[in-house]
Amino acid sequence: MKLSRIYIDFISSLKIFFRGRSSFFWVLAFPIILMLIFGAIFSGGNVQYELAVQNKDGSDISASFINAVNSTNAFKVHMVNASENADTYIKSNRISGMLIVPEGFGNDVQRNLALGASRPSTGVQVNPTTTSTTNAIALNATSLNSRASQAQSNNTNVTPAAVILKVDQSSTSAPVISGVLSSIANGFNSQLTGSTQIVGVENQQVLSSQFKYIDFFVPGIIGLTVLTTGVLGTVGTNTQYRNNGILRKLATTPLGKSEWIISKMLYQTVVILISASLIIIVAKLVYNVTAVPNVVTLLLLFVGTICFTGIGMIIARFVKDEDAANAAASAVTFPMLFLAGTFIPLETMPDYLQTVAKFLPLTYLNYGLRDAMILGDTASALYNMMIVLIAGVIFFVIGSIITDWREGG
Amino acid sequence: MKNEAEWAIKIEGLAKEYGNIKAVDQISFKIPFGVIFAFLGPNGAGKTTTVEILECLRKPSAGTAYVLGLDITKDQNEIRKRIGVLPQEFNTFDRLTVRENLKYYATMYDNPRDIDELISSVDLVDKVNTMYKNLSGGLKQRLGVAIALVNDPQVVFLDEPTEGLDPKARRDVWEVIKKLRDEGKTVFLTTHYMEEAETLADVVAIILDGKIRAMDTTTNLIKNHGYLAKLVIHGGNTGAFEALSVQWAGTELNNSDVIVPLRDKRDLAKIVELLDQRQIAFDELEMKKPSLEDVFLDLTATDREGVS
Repeated sequence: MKLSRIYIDFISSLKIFFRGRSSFFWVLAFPIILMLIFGAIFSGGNVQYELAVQNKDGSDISASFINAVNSTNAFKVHMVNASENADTYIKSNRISGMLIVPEGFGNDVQRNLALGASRPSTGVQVNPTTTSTTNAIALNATSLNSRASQAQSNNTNVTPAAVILKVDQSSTSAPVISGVLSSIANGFNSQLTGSTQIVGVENQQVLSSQFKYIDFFVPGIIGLTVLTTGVLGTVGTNTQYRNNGILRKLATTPLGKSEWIISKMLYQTVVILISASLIIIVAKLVYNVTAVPNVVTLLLLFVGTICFTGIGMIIARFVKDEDAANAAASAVTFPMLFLAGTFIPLETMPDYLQTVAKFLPLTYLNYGLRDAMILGDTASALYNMMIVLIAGVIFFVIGSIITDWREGG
Repeated sequence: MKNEAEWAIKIEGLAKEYGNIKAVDQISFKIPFGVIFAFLGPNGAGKTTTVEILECLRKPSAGTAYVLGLDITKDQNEIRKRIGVLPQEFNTFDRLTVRENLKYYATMYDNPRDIDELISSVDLVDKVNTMYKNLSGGLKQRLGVAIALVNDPQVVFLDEPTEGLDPKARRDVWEVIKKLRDEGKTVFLTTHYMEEAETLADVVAIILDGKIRAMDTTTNLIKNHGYLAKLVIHGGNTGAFEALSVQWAGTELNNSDVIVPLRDKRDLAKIVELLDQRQIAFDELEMKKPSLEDVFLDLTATDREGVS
């Protein structure tokens, strides 16, 4: 083994990389574009749900209720003309939630207030806008009302003044919208009746600094770079050089397979370091995410490179056609990207997918990078690194042994 | 470098089988030092397989082979240091310049040649900073030859060095190859171009279906082929054919031309006299020197007869 050979191959690989526009784009620019897109989707300010509001009442009380809805900032409120037919409006405007303050709402509230102080005077009645789920929601609405009436039955017969919520039950925002409105109604009740709050929820941050989606996503994007550079890069170089005859030429020189593999490993690591640095800088500038790379981060990037380069070598050994090899590499990398929690936290996935994720080295790389860069949990980062390292050594050794330049090794 | 080997390349009973297919079938030959050896044969005859065995890229199924006296199954590392290779369909790094590519391969060896000297020897001085991908086919091959020479090898393997080149580029590559003989290199050239073998080679071996069918110096191969020259009687027609085919075996009628192989120095005079006597009309006479192509075509023709 000669260092001069490793060095010239390493330097040449870097020159070739920086002179190639497509590799430059896919490896350096693409992850950043992806990060900006996902960042824009998931953390573009507070999440607001669209809510159409129709006030058929016109009293001061109904106006203050709508004010309360507005002041939560949970909704982007569109006021709808009182004369409009609600169902038609929902259909033609394709909205998932509409709040209707019925005529006489103000009067009902006044009446209930007069009847007794600490009783619920306002309730939310949920009307589904899709027929398929009518029953389930009718029950829900009944239970909401029955709880109210139970409380009231001890005293006098008070029917709560109800606002009506029409929601599309197939929409994922439906439970959130009805939940938020119910809390507004409850808050409204306590305010009107002047009751003391007995049970409350205090929000506390789990992390010392605010942990947003983008904090989760930045290490994931770095993991993505390690995966794609390692697998796709290795498969690309190996099949391309094999098919265009460069490997055959190299095989006639004293350059050893191990020298070539070591050089390519170093090269991939440097490319990944450049890519990760760019991601960290852009994340800081655009999202003010402080992802602090430390020694453990560098180790993780290195063992990740070993692991995915190994997987790349194994694919390149068995699928020799250039197009087929790239397809095979994509077939390995893309499902792994999604299943290993790059874009979506694993905890939000079904159990069986979480089980699958436990067998993917990228899962541990992602965990490790988050531990090291965002959470500052060095012990956990090292633990995850060890798992990637073990998988990496296995894949790398197999890959190195079976990579064939010459017949019979 | 000191070398006690008697032959630059020595092959005995070499065979390579892929399943039932005998790509190389028990071939044996020896190549002396300092010659250009042409390994001539059609595509698929076993040329590249043989060369790749000698370059230690493939393992033989049977037989032995020595390059510079070194055993190809045992001394691969030593062989790789001492040979230069221009593989078939040579390619190198697209986005490296001529100089960077040469530097890359020079670094692979312990005592490489001076890069600038090599660049000027293949006439690429103007292109030294041009990326490989921007070179024309002929210039790419010339860089390939320069790379093959970067370790100052004793034996140079050139596998189809002018494949796909235009006639001008082909001749330029030939000039580069001719220089190698002047430098005392042994050149192992595989080609399916007769003209290339005839122009360059001192020794030619013809391989067909994995077997060596003929091997000798180029001059001898042509001389011993059986006739001195061919006389073409343009516009001789059937009259000339009927008059001559009795006495001169192998006479052919090709459209209106009659082609007579001449085996004796006096044949020409006899034919002219006969044509004159019988007042056989013709347009003109042409003498054709036999070429390697004739040798090759005769061999392949014999093969086809054997098969049918």
